Amino acid sequence: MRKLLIVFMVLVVSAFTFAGGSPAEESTSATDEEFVLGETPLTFSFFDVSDVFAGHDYGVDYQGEAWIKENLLVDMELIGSGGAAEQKFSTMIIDGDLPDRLSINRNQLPQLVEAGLVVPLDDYLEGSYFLESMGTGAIDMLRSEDGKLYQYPQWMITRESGNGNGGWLIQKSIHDALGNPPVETFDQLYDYLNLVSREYPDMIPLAVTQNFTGGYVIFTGFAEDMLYDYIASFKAIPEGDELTSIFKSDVFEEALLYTARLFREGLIDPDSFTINRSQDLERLPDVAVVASNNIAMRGRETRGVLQQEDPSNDWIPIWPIRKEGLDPDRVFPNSYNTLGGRINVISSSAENPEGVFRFMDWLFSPYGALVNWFGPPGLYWEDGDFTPEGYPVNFSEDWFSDPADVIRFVGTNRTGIGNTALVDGMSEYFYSIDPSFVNWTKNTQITVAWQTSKDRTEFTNVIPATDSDEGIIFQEIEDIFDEMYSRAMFASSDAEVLSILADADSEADDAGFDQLLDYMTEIWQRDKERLEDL
Amino acid sequence: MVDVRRRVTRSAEDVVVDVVIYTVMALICFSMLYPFWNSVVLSFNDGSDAIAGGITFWPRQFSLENYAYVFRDPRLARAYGVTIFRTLLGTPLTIIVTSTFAFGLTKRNLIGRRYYMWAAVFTLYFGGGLIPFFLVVRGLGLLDTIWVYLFVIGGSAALLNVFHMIIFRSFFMSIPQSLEDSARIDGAGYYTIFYRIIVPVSTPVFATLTLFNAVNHWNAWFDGAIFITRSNLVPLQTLLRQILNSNAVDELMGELGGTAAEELARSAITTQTLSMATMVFATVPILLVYPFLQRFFVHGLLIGSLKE
Repeated sequence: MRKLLIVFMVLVVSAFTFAGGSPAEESTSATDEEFVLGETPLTFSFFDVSDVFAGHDYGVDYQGEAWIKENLLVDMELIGSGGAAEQKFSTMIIDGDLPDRLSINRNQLPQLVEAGLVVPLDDYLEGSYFLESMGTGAIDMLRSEDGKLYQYPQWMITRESGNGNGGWLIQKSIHDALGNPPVETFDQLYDYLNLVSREYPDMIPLAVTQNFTGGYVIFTGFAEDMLYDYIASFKAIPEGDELTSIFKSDVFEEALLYTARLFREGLIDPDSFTINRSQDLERLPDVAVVASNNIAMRGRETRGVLQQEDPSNDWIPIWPIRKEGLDPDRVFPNSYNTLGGRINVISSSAENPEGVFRFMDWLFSPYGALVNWFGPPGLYWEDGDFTPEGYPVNFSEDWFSDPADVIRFVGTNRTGIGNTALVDGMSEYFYSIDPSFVNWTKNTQITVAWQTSKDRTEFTNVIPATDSDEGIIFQEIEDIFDEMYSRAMFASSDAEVLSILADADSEADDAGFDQLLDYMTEIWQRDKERLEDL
Repeated sequence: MVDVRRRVTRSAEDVVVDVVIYTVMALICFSMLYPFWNSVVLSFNDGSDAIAGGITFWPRQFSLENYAYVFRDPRLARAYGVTIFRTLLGTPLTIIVTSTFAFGLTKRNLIGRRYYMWAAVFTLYFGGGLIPFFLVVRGLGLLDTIWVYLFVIGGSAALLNVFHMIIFRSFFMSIPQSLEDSARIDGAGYYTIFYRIIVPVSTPVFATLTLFNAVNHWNAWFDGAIFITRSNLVPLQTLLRQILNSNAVDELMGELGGTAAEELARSAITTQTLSMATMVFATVPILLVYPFLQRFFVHGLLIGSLKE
């Protein structure tokens, strides 16, 4: 009886296994006719791994989208995941049925290429804005292992200066009350912070904001051409043509000692490692100096509170604080990548890959950027007359006076592609016509943040893929660094900081940092050459 | 005759103890209710104003903008319908399946009884993970259909909830066997016994677990996120999460405006107040249902105290 039962169970289980269904059919993607954007209707599905694009139906709330739907005959089916984007992405890969267009992180691309789930874009490059603006050198940097191009970066920059949001803020009324002392070098900063803590014991002298990003900003001020990413991402600093361990760097040692000293003496907000976003913002009005990788957002959100108490108070963005004797124009708390961070890919189950590519290309073009960000023509700007960079000559000043809750529905919500140069350029264009046209955030960016941002494109591919050998070492190095950094802050003397640093250094060496650095250097040099070949 | 029911005298000590107990209870209740009340207050407050903090019992700057943002979405009505559908249909389905499964397991003469029990309990400890789960659902042809909410054993609103099944089983086993035996003598079969004897006696358990399942169905969002791709069948919670996520981009767009825009209205809709509004929107209906089932809980607490 028992044996019969077992046999029966096995049969039932196997029946379910085999009923599991066959793998999804590969759909052929053949378009017979020539595709022309604006004449051939196009519908495709779009999924985004950061899950920010599927909140509303396409073309319903946003005027830019309605215009695109009507004039370009493009409709998007937005696939959302309600917060479970990474898992949904995994299940879609397993299913083999990906939406036509995807926005993913660069390190997710290799697995898609391997599985044959994405379409190469080489055939469509001819005559595209993409090729024209970025050039073959940059595009070569984006090619995958098999030599083909699969990605269309989300945000690219086609001009000399980049974007950025980080730097330093000073609370105006406190600074004025203390007699406007200069705060340009680290020594002056130290004096100012001590002055604040004496005169205003209830205030926090320096806030480094959530995740201690301000500490990294401090680091960038200790030598010329120090990128934020050296400390925040790579944990490596170039010396000559090689990337070397940050633990061995003199510049980093100096910065670490300085930051730890500020922390030890109570001049930095002691909760900086553990606060979340709302706590961070809530305490800002009680802070005299802010260092952060996003002062633009923080200033914008908290100015109102400052001005509620004292209408003449404000956040003043100051030029990055630096070590004595450095060239102020070569201190960079910000960096930008002309090739953007995340990428778009077209899946092999798309019916009309060329159509999707042409549409993305259009979004990247100057005209597309205008519709995306500033709404359809006729609303806030007139078609027809453009400056050489592509900005409209005739625009309505209502743009500057209409409330933010109207502006947010003017363009589109579903960009996922853009040329930062055009968007930021528009703001600078407005600023050049009349500085008062631009709001505080843009003002901060234009006058300080964007000017203190350095190109880091050559480092685009330097971080290894997570599942490779180097990737595993990299994660270890990150952990060693994070632990070292927080311990150093809580150390009780300079000597202790140095010994913590030395320990981390040998730990990193043991973990194989040299091997990782060789790999990173190789990639860096290879891409640097490609960019120069442009 | 001495009147036995004379009033018990209360000493000063009694009064003090009472006061202390009442105070402590009141404080505990307040600490539980206040966060929720605060969330409701925040949801009715202007977003930029809320960032300054300090909002306690009443909105400082009243605003309906956050709710307006939520209501803007035309898919909301449909999502609401989907959630109501799955709660109304899925809950009874789950209860029926779970309770009958449990009842079966109380019968010692069931073939393979140990095996079924073991298989069910095994899933409490071990699971295959997301991908195998997805493959099973796909294999059953439930992807992108509304039936995926009702007929899947797994996830938060499962067709067979093992934990509840164990509760049912324990309760059924505590029902005196004599009830069943007498029904058997009168010629009742298993179905009759279940529906006419067992169920009426177990009302507290049924009511409690019905409410649990209803709440699970109401709050479930993950299955909607993973299993629904093309069809417009996401439940309310999934859609709300999506709306919340996309607000981040809108904030960026709104930032492009000029100076006067800033002065006029730093956005009334920020992520913080928007999430409060979505939370209130999603929770209120189920809160309204709760009082009607309240009386069953009181009875439910008496489980185990009934003696033959």
